[in-house]
Amino acid sequence: MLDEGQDFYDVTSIMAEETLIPAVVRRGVKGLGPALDPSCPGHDLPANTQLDLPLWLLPTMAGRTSAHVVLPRFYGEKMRRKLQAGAHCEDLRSRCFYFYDVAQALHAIVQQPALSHLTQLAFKGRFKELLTKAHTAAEGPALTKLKGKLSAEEAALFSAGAESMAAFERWRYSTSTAIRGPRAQSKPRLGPARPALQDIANQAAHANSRRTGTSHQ
Amino acid sequence: MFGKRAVELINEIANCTPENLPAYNDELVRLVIEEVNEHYNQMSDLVRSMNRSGQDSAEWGMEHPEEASALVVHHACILRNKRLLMTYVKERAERIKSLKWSSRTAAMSIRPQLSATEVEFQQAYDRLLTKYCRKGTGVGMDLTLDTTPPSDPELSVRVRKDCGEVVLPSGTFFLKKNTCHIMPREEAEGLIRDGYVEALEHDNCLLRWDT
Amino acid sequence: MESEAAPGSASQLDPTNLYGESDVATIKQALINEQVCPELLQYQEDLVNRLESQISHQEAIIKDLNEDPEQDLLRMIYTVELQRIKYSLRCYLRARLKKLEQHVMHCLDDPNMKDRLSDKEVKYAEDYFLLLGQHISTNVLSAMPQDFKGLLRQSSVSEANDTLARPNLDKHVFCRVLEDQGSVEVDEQGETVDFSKDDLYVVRYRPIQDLVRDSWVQLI
Repeated sequence: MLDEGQDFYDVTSIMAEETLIPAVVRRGVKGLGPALDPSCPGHDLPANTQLDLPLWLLPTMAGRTSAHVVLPRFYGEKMRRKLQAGAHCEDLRSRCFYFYDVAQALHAIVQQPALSHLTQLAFKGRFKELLTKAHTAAEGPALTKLKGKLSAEEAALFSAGAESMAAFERWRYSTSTAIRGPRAQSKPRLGPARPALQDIANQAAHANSRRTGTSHQ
Repeated sequence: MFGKRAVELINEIANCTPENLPAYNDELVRLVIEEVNEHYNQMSDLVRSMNRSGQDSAEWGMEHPEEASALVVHHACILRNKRLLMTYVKERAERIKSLKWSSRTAAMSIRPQLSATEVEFQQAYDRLLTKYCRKGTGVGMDLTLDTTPPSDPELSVRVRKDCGEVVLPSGTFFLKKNTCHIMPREEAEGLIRDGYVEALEHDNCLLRWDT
Repeated sequence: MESEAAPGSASQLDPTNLYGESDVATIKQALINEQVCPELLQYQEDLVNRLESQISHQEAIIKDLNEDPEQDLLRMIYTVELQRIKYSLRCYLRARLKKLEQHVMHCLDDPNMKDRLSDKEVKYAEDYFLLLGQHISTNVLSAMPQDFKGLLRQSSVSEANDTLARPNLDKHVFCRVLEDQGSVEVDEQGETVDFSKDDLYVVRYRPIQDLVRDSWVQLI
């Protein structure tokens, strides 16, 4: 049974599950050597091979072959120190685009407190600047630079914030009564795994756009 | 690595703006299905050898751990590919649906990108929604209207392409290109959505429709 | 909807009428609740019926006024009002339809959920589920190997229906408290918050689910 709020057909989680995670298989796998590990010389995957597995295959492998998950570098000790020094400078986008989603999924498998600490550290260190910029910054090189560092979840939060501000300004300064073409609606794609703040920002966007809708009375 | 082709399918849609849809990728879908069948054949071989051994699955798994691992990997791969294929088809169907809600012309313009079954789906969804909007079988209101809340009950519009004489509930309009008209908002919305007329930003249209 | 009408006398304990609000204000709130709430709420059948008869009444009035050019302004005002009511009603039905499509199987599967739908919505959900299910079946499932042809189960060894989406009740919502509620438990650890009249909160939907259903709290 799927957990509440999880969507079997969710494109974003499908993409996040493609992230490769290093692991060591304790027991071998017959016949699938080269398929699982391109550098495998033989037909069968020998025991104690270190290889990269996609996140979606990880629970199966962890259960059956007692694969041992190696925490990826972008969740490692060095990353923790960098985040502590200045979370907002880190480029999460190129390290792991689905930084928080993957962490959440991985946490269910490995259950290391260090992992949850690290993601909290990252989010707490970053969201303030992110939301301020989303509400105030104008398009420009600085903003492009900031956006280039955001993970998928942060980017969604950012555009929710920016959209909410734009909706507010439309309402505040608009006198025109003309119908415009249908606005692209942001699809609510929030699972339980995402930080609560994203819900909130999205809600704020909703509330604002509703206000723009009903205030001409 | 397994499941890569199916991810390509998902990527195709994910990389495409919401108003657009890439052509239905028959060939890639076929390849993914082939991959599934390949997994299934190998899985069946393993199951047969397990059955031949006369052991129950737990015993067999203990004695042949490498085969048992391969079995669960094949199973997981089938599920993964199935999920991705279903998502590909469903996500495309969602896009087709949302076009129905936003614009009739856009719905027609993506027709060439659809597979035969998708065209059928589009038409069936159209019928379903129309039925729900009709009086008697449904709520009696066209729910696909209203892109913005109403303010002025009437609206000035400029005609973008000639459509000749159009009979609307409020009267007959002669819609010649670049002429301006004032018409009830509800009736104008459908025409705007389909690109026949555009709303004038400011009410600078002096050409009043004479009753 | 922003203008809060004065609450009715305390003896009038029917929560829907407690604030003496008109049907128009009520449909607006129902619309907002429906737009914000992660799950589908109870269909407001009586309200929609009343509004529909009010709409046709007003349409008749406008038609009468049409005959008389002197009454142009009055006709205009009536038309604006009518359009706003119809707009709210359409938005309400549309918001429900979107959520119904999103969680169609969950809505049909769970008798509790099915009770919240109007008859027409039930019919729509059934037809829609059939349509989408058939579409996925023809394109994907029919080509899947034996044991993997299920729409609701990933494989024949799945223990339950494992492809249906259910709404995320832990989504955060903004809400306004309409009447003093005392302390309300807001998480599993038993943390409580005092809900007093006119308070605004951002909370997970689950703990306030019943309060929303009984109109003690409104979503904003």
